[in-house]
Amino acid sequence: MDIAVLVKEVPDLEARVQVVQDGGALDVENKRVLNFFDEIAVAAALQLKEAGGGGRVYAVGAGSGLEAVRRAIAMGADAGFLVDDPAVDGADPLTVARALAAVVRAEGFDLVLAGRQATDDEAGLVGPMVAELLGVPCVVGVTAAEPADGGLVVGREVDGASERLSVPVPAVLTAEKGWVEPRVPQVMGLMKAMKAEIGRRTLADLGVEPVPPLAAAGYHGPRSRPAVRMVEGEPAEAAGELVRILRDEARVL
Amino acid sequence: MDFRLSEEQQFFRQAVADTVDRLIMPRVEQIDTEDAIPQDLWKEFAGLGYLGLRYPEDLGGMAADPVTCMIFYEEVTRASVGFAQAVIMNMLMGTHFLYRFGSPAIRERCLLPALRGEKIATICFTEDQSGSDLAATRTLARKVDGGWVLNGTKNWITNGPTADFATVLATTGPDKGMKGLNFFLVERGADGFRSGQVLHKLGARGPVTGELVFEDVFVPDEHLLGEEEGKGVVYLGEILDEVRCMTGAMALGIARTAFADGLEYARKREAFGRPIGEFQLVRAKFAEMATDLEAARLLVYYAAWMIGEGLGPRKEAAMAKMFATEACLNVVDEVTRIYGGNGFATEYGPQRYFRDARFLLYGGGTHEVLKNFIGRELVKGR
Amino acid sequence: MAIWVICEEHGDGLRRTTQELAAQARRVAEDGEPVVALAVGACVGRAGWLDGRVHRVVKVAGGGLVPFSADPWVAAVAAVLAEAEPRLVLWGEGTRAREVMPRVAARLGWPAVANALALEAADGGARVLRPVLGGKAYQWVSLGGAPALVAFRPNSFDPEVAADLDTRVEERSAEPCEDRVRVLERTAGDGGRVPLTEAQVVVAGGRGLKDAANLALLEDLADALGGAVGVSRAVVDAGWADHAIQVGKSGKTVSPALYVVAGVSGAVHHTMGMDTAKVVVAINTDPNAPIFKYADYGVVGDALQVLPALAAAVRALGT
Repeated sequence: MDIAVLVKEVPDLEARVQVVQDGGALDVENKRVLNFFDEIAVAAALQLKEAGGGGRVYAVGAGSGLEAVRRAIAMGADAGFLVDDPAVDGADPLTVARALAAVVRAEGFDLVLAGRQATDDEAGLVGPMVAELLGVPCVVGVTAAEPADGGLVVGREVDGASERLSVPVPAVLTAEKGWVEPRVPQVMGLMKAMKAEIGRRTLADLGVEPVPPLAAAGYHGPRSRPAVRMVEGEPAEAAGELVRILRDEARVL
Repeated sequence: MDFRLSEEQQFFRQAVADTVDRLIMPRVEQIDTEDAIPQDLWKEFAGLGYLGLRYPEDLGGMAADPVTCMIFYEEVTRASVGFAQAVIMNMLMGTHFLYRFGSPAIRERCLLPALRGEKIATICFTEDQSGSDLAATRTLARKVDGGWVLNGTKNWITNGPTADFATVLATTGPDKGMKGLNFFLVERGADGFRSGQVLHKLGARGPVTGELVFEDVFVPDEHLLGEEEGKGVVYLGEILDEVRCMTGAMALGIARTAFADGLEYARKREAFGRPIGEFQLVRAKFAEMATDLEAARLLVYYAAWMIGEGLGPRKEAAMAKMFATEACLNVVDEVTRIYGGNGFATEYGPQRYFRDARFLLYGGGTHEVLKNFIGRELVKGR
Repeated sequence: MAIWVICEEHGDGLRRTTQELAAQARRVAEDGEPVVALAVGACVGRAGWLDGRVHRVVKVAGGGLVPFSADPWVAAVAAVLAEAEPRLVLWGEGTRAREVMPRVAARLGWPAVANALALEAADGGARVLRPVLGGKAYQWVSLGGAPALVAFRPNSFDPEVAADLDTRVEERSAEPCEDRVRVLERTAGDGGRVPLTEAQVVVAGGRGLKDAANLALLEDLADALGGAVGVSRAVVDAGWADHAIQVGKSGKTVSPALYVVAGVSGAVHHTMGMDTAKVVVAINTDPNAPIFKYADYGVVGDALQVLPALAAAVRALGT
């Protein structure tokens, strides 16, 4: 089974973020990692490859995602590709999805895995978009998958229920926490990743015309809550006062 | 002239940093408090294969260039000096002479398991009356039929009580001075080889450090690690630059963490109604620390690059070790001041950085010895 | 041009988020611009609330739409929207928006925004607010005049809206569509409780609860408040609770009116899942715990004592 994994590099959650230029732009500390859920997708792809008796696992990134692609190779992926085009950073998700789909279509696939969402925008758009562009079914938030009858049996938790689904391949699955626990790469993997030739493609190579992205119309920092108001006293006393405040002042009870 | 790391080296740094953050960082306080290397962490980390970093690929290594090695030393030390010390002992000093001179049987029995983390290595220089002055080494190796008999006591041995084998500096004749010095391999279990007192350290806690005692310990001929007898100091000289750079890289690691913590603290901690980072005198501290750190970084990586290019950076490596360590000592000191009273509290990191940094003063040459060496090189026009 | 709302059912009626979206659509609609609700599948028979509150309801019934399944939904929704040429299509965050909206966007070639928090009328179109980088900043996005799909977090808007319109209802049937994914097994969900992401009140706990058995204290207070229970990552990692109720980076994002959090230190991994809650009450033994920076009200104390006291005080209020 050939498995493509869509990977995105995102700022680490610990990275410093500042709104600058009077809300005109964001200044983000350059501390980047492979997206948390994509890492699970890579680990899951490797597990499926083993369970399915071989095939190829390759990672596909876009824009400033080179390290993410290498990281996937370090974890065990066989190859990596990058949509290397200045028009990709800050592009509309649809542009990114079209580019990724074009790479996957050209490389061949039985399955495409992606993270449930990226931790920077928490949008989860690109994976299902790629499914639609490839004309294959899509299941989001997957926590288990195993080969069965030429397809896959997929598990997931949805709104408090758990589901087992029969999914034909090719398909797109997006990975949720709990599927596979990713491990830190071995040094041999790092060596392989450092030397790996990353297949680079421009949007023109892929025949993708970027769609104009929606315009950012300003940033602001987190809503600053007023300084916390401490409610003092023994538990019973504090609880009573708190409930009074929540009812009479905050009016949420 | 290009000061950038290669794309591969950048990737390596990021990957090592991530591994360190995930595996070692959460255990840092435990390592310091318990003054022990957690066995599960050691196993997991060694299992990743980093211990062979500087050795050839046929030994399971990565044949990494010295710059890449420094990146690794710096990143691991950024988390824990103690853990780094244990790791680096197996990677460098504790295994180097086995790699260079060990018979196939020795490589199989000691080197390879050490690079997999299954055996703990160490090296023994220091004695009660000798440290920087190697010629004063008293541990005696007496030639006997088919091998050597060792007698003496080594002190300040990192991993001493836990090591599975030791590379031991001993003299084959006290009257020969430097020319009598040789390295011998002694394995745990050899008759007459035992651990002595354990030392309790101010910092760099984690690996057990202590005495090793040799009483009529017999080792076969092939345990003399060297092509010919009497060249121990020459062989040592060939690796000294790397050891000094490595110590400089460790200094960078400690200093970076301390600096980052200090910066974070100065942004958050308020006094007189504003973050202390907005006060000029605090800013001046950061400006000075950052400048020192940048200079130290350039020296360490320049010297490492010279090693890789075969340029033999004798004095540059000594400068790198000395300057980076002094810069580090300055940074950890200033950061405890920025933290105010909290710099003195064990709940916060700075007191640990402060204690740990001092460890770097001694290994790879005291700064008094290094200045003497650098000065001598300069006067001699080298 | 029109603003469309994609409906979802809950119980015998509509999901509260659907009501919020319809109400907000009315508020931001331009003069004479109709608000249209698209009721697909199980919503068809549950759309009564919409009567008088939107200008038009388009009901689509057909094979494969009940129970929800992505392939037929994508086909049905895309077919209706393709000919409608809406200015805006509003969705409620959740599994359906996640499975259907991006695919509809890709099929129609329209831009999509997920995870949005606010919608305002603006010059030359509308703008939406969304968090970036775990809520460390928020970004306004201009939608312009072309069709755009936007999914909003639950509890982003007030669902109150006057039922003063003369609502026109259209009924259609969907083209048959092959469903490539087959359900083998589905366990019943937690029917009684409000879903965590939609709850108006969330009571959350962390490692400070000390033991799995003490999660019952969260349940009890949540019952008293009529809310849902959430937990921190540490609790899930310790095996005390299921990942399904984890709040934060690798779990759910919630925006309730009231978030009570006990025994959670307040790392960004957690706070990014709750920072848009309206009122936050934090309980922690450590007065310096970062969670108090995200709280409106704080109690320094042991969660094991404060939680039951709070539950008792809430119940006393009701009697």
